[in-house]
Amino acid sequence: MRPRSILVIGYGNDLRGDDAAGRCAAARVAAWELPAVRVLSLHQLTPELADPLVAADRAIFLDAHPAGDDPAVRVRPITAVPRTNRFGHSSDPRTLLAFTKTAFGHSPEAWWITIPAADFALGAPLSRFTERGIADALAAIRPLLDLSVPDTQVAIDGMRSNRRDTGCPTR
Amino acid sequence: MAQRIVIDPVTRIEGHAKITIHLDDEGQVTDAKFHVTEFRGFERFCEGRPFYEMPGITARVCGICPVSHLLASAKAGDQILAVSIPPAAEKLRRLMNLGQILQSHALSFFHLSAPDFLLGFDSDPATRNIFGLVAAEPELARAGIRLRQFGQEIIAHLGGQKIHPAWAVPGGVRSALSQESHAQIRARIPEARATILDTLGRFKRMLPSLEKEAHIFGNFPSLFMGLVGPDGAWEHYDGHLRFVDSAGNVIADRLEGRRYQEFIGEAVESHSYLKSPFYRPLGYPDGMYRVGPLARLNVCSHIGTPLADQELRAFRDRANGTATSSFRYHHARLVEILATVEKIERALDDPDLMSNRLRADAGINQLEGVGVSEAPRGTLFHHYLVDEYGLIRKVNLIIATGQNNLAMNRTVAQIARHYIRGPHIPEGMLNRVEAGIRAYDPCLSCSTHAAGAIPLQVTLVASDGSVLDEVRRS
Repeated sequence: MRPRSILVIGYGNDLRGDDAAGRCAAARVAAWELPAVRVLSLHQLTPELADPLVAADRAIFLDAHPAGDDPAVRVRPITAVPRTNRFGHSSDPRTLLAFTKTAFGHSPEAWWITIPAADFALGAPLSRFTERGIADALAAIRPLLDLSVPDTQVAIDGMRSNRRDTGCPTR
Repeated sequence: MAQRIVIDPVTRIEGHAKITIHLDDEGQVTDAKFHVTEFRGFERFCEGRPFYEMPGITARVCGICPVSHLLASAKAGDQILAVSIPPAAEKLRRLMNLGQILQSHALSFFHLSAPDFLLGFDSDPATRNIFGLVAAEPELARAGIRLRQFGQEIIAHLGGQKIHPAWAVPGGVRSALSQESHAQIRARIPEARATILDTLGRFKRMLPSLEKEAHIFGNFPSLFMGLVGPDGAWEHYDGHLRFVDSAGNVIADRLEGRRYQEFIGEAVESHSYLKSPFYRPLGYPDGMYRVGPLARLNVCSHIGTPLADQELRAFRDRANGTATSSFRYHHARLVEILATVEKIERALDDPDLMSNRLRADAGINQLEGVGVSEAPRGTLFHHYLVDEYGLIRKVNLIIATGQNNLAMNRTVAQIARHYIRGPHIPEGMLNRVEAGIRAYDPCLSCSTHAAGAIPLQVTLVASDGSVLDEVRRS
């Protein structure tokens, strides 16, 4: 069934190079200005997100992962199973989903998209490697948004990677 | 054999710390210390930066308290420019600070401390946290989430984002409050007021069962310091400083924040990166004083809003006058949340709030500025010395949590002496020691900027030199 509302949450530290990948990807989704899609760009996942999550039919989490673990974009459906009993700087959306389910009785269906990140240095701009990963993530997110965003739109976003108006630091 | 017990890390606080408790051969507590094990160093690496960058830089000291640093830093910058900021800018800064106090206090109570009150100090540590709370008390937990969110949204409406908003600047603020934001904030007030009134009611009903903790958790005489208004009213953004003693006597009043060095000294101890400010006339360590919600309610004559003033009277009745137990920080926090909700509502009625006259422009007109405001945890000082180009020559930060350092250490020792009898130490007793620290709601990321004398390293050594037992928490 087509979701009526979708929440996209991009999170990470935008002062630490490629750790901003999730937030950059979220910014580009926001720029599509899609109806029924709400986009949040945050430093980390916190309990307060349970409130907007419970109002969504579908949630998509965007983050970075060390490229050494896996050089490709990961797209995983996730469920509300707590991985820890705390919220800290290291955020796991499954924990947040579990918290939401406990607090409100249910949580949305959810996907976790992580983008390979090469450089986490303080103050570094996004690496070209991660920029390509963001483009791949945007292509992967289209069917999850279940909306007809033209392929050309995604290509244009890939070409925008060096422009300042994306809101993401670039080389 | 003498023992040293180590609690590392202290849980459900902001930042990193440990506690060491020393036992004699009979298992009695001889000493206890609170060690802050992180070092941030902003006082040093900010040297050479333009003063107008300082709000943005110091806001990144902490993800919970950025607004507090933003405002104190902007106020220091106002003095360097030698300007009076436009009235609307001050009112907007005040609105943001109210949102900041509200969200921070909500975090402290609902996320960090309520698990102890509602689940029990001796409950299973695996569930004695926000997850356990939401499972046991989902309605309260949901209300707490939305209350904190309300405070964060005020910050976001004004500054564009909830964390590290680059909005308050020397001379004023960057942007106005939109009509849409004004309406959205106003719409949330009834729910926020209902939540805090309900929570206050619940907490007051719990208090009789928590009187033992109230008697033991940091219950000792000390001075208290905070900002007050010209008529002695509760203040959070401006005003003058006042010290009172445990009997409620005003020891010093109408103190100007920019002259803080005349009455506040700073000591450094070898066991912690946290400085120890003290009241100079009484010397160190006799000049111990406390800041934050407990202190603000002790130093003010009234709050100035009807419901909060009513709760202030109830708070003082419960404490039999000046509150000397640090456990009562929790109650004070709830009273302050109510005060912020009422003051936010009142602020929204002021037409000045919607003005576009938001910034005073000037050059470098003074080479020194001291910004003082009340952060959720207590009085915050940003002191900058600049050169003729406005580049920082020297920075001194006096952080709320640091001002509570002496009191926190004394609290840890008091609780440990009461509850711990070696050799077997139940987990719930150790949790009470931690809870003593949590009462202050310390922000350790904010408060560790001085150059420490030693690197901190845990070693367990008995009085005869052998390795001691150690208690750790995950």
